[in-house]
Amino acid sequence: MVFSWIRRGLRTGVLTTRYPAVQERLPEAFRGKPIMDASRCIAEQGCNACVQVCLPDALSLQTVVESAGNEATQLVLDYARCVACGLCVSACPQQALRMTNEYELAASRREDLRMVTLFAPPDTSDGENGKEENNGRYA
Amino acid sequence: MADMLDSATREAGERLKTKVQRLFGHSLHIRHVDAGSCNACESEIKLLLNPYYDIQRLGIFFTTSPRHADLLLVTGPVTRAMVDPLRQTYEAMPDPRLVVAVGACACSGGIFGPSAFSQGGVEHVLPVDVFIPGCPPSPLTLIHGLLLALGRVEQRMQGHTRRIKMGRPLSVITPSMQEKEAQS
Amino acid sequence: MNWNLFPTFAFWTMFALYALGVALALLMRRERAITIAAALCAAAAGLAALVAGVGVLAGAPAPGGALDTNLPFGALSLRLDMLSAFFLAVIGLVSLPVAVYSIGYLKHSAGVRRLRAFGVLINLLLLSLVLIVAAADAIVFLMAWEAMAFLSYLMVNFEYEERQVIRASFLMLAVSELGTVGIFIAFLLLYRVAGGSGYDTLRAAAATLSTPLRSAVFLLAFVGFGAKAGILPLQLWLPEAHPAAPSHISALLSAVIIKLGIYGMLRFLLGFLLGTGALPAWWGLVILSVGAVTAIVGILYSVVQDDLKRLLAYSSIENIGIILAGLGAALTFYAYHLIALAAIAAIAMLYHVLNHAVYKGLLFLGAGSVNHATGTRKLAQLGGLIRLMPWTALFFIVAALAIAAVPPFNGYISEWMLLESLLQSFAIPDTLTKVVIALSGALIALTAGIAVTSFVRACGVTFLALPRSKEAAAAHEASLSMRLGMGFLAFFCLALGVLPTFVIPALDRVTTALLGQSVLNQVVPPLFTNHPGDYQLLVTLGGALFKGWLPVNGLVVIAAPAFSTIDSPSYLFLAELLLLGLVMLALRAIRPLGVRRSGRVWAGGIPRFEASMTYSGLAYSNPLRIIFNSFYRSRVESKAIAPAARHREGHITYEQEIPPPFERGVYRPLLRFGEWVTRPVRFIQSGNLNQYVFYIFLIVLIVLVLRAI
Repeated sequence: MVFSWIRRGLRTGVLTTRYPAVQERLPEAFRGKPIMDASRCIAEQGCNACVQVCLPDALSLQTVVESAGNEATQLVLDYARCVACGLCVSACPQQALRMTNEYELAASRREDLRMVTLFAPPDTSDGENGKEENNGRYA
Repeated sequence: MADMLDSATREAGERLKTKVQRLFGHSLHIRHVDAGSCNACESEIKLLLNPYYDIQRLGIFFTTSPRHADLLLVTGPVTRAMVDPLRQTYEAMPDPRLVVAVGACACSGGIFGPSAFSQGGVEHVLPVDVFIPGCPPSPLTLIHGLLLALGRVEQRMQGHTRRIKMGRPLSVITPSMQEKEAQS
Repeated sequence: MNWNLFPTFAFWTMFALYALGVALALLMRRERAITIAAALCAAAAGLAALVAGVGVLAGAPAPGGALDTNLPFGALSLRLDMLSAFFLAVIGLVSLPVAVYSIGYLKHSAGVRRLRAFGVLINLLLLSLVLIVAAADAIVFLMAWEAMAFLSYLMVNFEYEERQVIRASFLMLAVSELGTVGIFIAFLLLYRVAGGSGYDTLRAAAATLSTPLRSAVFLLAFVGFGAKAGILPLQLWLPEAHPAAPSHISALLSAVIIKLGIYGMLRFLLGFLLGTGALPAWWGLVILSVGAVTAIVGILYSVVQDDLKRLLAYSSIENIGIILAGLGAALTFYAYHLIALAAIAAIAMLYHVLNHAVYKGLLFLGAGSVNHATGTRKLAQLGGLIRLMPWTALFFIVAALAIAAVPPFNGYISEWMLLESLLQSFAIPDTLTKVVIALSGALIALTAGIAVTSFVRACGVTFLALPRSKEAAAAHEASLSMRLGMGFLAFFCLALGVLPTFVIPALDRVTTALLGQSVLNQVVPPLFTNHPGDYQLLVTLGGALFKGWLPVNGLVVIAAPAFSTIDSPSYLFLAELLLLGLVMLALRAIRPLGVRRSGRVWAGGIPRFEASMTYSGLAYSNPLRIIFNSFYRSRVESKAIAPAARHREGHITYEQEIPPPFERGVYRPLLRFGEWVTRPVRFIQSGNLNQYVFYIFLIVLIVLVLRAI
């Protein structure tokens, strides 16, 4: 009995993953973390397909009042609520959302799980319109 | 990729690291509490002990008594009935202690959200050190989260707020604008 | 004032006080007055007894007196020799707090007539006890013995409304009378040869008896007094009578009255039969083996009891076994002419008599307080009393520590000395004897371990955890007189444990009078004086440190020819206090180093603690029951009652029954045999009064005819 275990163990070798020493690659189909390309998003045109289809309300569309008369649309992707179902990816008409197979999703602060995209109306202060201004990196 | 993170996140990570690394070293005992979860997270957590993931090689063990535990692993949105037992479990743990919220429900209430019967996430009940999102988070995500709590890996997630200036005037009809239309 | 005559004065005052107690109990009107008067007289007489006993042990002249009568058996005499003085001191030491305790215990408990009866009976009972130990001739002894048997029956029968009490007290009387028959015959065998009934005449007569006759006297005395002491298999009355009696009577019963069985054995074995002529070795071995077996059986039954007082009663049986083992060891050593070892074993035995009286009395008084406050004796219904009755809990725990032989209390001294003297058996040449002694020693050691279990269980289940019933939750602390009585005994538990070097010289005088050799210098050598002898190192370590403060004889030593073992209880106590103080200081010093956070007990996150979650007495003793099940022959039944519907709760019942020892195997067959034997002559006891009058007439006729012949 014991010998058959030893034989089997020698045959199969070590199966244990070596994560975190070695980054493990999951299959492409693995639903890890959806990311958004904001340049393709048409939320400011009235599209809220992803918001409608998101089950746990991880994606939400809000209006923020920036200054008097100036309103902006805000699309929030809250990873703390996301269940990685992938419905938003198939619902988006512009393919702005893409599912990645990333798995290192933990964060020590709740704010680190909120991705906010603010669609601000144009203002005449600078000439560069249609460009993206961000205070962080495309994550 | 540590330079990806902004200063606030980095500081929080440093705080966590100094708090625990000095004390826990390479041995961590986890007490898991199911605060109303659907048990999908528990199914993933139990996979941590199988030969493939084997967290015991990392010095992480599960224990039954909070008196012996260093880290409290909470799943579930914290139902009303589990608020007091969860608090008692936390009180019974000796310092230093960590709290990790596992799963979408524990991070934010998940599908259920804050309601009459759920607190909407562990952070409304206990001070949480690490959030592990997912529904359920895969064992690798869990390992990453636990090691993040121990300060042995770096955090990848970084929240942000991006401003995109549109080239054309805003033409979306938002609900508040609809209301204003209706009022006027 | 001549202090030497003070004990004599106390001795005679004691009788007057008992008489005063009886008189006051009969004359007073109101319940409280009766109780207080009778109890205070009994207490004062107890104090006088203590003074008289201790005085004689300290060297005062022995009081005594004789009353010449015209009866054919000679004068009635009293004399307080060393052995009597020791037991008188024990009686006094225990009756004083018991009497004080009864003032509080009997409050609101009975009407005028019953309290009057109590007042009279307690004083008469104590008087009979004193007469038993002070008697110097067989007639006084036997009369006082019968009086004691009957009076203790009446006192145990105090709450005679319950059938259980009537049955228990009658059983006690029956077994006691059975023993008295044996004692009577033993005395008669000696009296036949002696012609007079004084102890000295009997002693001289015993020396002239032939060996089989002496053995017969030995066996009769052993069994007869053993029935009173509670040896196997005559212990059946003890576990019934002790719970049935009111607690202060149980205390008196267990602490003093069963010791009178030991006193009788000592008087016969060491007083009469030890005279000239060789002592057969098997006497000592019989006593030793019976003692060891009694001890183990007693404690095994004690540990599985649910009734607190039955637990204590079986523990008394165990301690009587230990005392008998000491006596047996002493006789065995004496038979092999190792007089010093015999004296050491005898000192250990006498010390154990004293210690057991003190801590068992305290345990019963504590159990009485618990019963008084909660109305129940069952461990399954008690619990959490340490918060509601802190003083009772403190005294009970002190007594439990003492009975578990934990230093610095007194049980440690006597058990340690006894085990040490048993270990000295290698000096005996005969192999079989050595084997028997070794086995008995092993049994006694096992007994000591199980005794610890039994008392941890008794204290833990009763006082710690949570109240398991409404009555326990409503308990109140005992009244002042009850606390005073218990505190008095608790103080002596500590004092006798820390200062044995004051007690052992007194015991040594007793054993010198009985065995003829003083071992004081071997047991308590005069260290810390100017001539320390062989113990230079210890003297330099300790003697210089506390010289002048501590008793001069600072050590208790067992000195055998080959080696000696040393222990110093007073030093041990000081070391314990010092260690405790150092630990507390150290904790205070390191307190700033850590973070202190106090919280609830962790019990799984449940909202509320229930008593059903606590460790029960049954669960604590169950492992022992399972291990020794072939001995207990217990019956366990566990039934699962199916639920009414599939998703509802069902019930599981668990029933466990442990039959008392020997009931099926010994007592029932004997009873059936007795009934079968007496069936032919049953017609004599017809219940017809005329027939009985005819018997009287017939006997008078026969006596007259015989006188004429």
